[in-house]
Amino acid sequence: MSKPIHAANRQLLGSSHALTRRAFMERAAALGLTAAAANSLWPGAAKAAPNKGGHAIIGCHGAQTTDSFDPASVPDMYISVTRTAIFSTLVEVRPDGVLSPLLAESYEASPDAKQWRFKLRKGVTFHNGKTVTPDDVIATMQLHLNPDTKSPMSSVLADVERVSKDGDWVVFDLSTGNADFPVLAAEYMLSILPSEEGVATWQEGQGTGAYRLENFDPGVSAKLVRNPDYFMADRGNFDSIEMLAINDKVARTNALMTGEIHVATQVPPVLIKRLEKVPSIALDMRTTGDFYTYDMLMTGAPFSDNNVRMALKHAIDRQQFVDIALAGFGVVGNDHPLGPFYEYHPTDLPQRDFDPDKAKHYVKKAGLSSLKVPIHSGQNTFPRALDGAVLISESAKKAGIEVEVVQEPDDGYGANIWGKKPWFASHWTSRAAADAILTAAFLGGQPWNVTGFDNERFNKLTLEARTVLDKDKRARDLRRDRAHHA
Amino acid sequence: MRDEGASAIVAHPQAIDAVSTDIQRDDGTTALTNLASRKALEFWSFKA
Repeated sequence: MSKPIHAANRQLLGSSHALTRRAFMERAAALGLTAAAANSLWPGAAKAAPNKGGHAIIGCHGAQTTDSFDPASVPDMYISVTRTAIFSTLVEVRPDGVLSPLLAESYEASPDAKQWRFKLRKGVTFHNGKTVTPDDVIATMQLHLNPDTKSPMSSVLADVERVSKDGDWVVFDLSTGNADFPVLAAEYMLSILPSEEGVATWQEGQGTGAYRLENFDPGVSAKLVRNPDYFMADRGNFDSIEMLAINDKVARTNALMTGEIHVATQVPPVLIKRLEKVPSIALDMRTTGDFYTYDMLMTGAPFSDNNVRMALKHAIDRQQFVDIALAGFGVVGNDHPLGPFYEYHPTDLPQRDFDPDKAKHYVKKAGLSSLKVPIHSGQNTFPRALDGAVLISESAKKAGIEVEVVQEPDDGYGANIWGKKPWFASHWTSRAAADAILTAAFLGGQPWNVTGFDNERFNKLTLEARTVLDKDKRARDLRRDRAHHA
Repeated sequence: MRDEGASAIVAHPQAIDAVSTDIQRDDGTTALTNLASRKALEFWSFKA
């Protein structure tokens, strides 16, 4: 009934400036090299075996005093990186972009992709010594499937009708086929938690990952120590890791330059040229599926009128934002969430340009003689988010629109500003599959779709695309909504 | 979504992390804050 899915053969991620190991191996094969010979030539293979030991200090952004290991909470970068080191998912997206089994040793699907079966590794234990069982997986999924859950993953798992066990296997029965279900299972928010009497617990941060939690002070730091029992024996090399919450980008960069930390996440683009001259620092730059957006609440005036929304979309000089705020380290947005990172990125979509005349046209079409709106942003909602709001204010003036910039505190932004103020800065991070971001941010009625966007045609096409196994047809479906309105 | 939605998407940024050269990075890991490398801490180690 079932056929094995060799997911390791599947390239998930779209564009990257780096040659992936798979692409390297394919090119090597095309040149007539054996796999063994190609392996020996792969740069990653040429490096020395990792050393065990040492204390690594990471300066990471996006930390909040409200951070927790609650899988239903809104995660920013700090807690998501920390969680990823502590917890494991059934499958993972490897650094080379390939989907691979992790807590599951294998998985398979029914021919119609309506049933997915994951076979758990034997003998894996949580950090508290408890053995991982199918019951833990079932209980973890119930956290997201419970009708009362606030988990954003509830929308991603909306088609799951039943989770059950069959010996060492966990079985997901879906109401409709979903070819990307294993990709969704790689979402870090679906990390497997220990359970007791059918109830999964996250409060103590007990995972199965490479590092176990020793101490956690939300918004300040987390101390992680190597898990000697990690089932991936060749990973988890540091003796310990200190995750320092350093939300200020300049402080983070300075801490790295003075040797106080080993890693500074998300360094300011304006400092890149300076950092490139420091011999003790290496820069990692990659195109991401992230997008920076200024979201409007459609549930009330003035943004309930699409003419107002269109006026503001045309009043933004996106190229100026990329040139000035990002110092060129990014791609201009086009009011579409699937950027060049994604496999289904719409390359034929006309770029939305800064056009003051069109902005004025839409203001008039809204029946308004003038438009004055506040825009809310924290200093670090995303890098230069507040500066971006100022740039919008300046460009909007050329369209006769008055935009008042309101600076909000970074701490508590997710709880108090995001989805609460009428117009607010927002940062969406990459997802393993296009469906995951379309569902989480735009599908009607989903908990993280805070703008109130609920379009019948979009909802229908997004749900239909899940069942399309043919990639070309799926790409067409995912673009149809856009084509309809273009 | 694009023409009737509420998201004024301004940019798709690059992940730009800076790492001490004391740390050895392999297995194809890239910026820690890039999706595919968020597990990079599992792979990284100190150079000898």
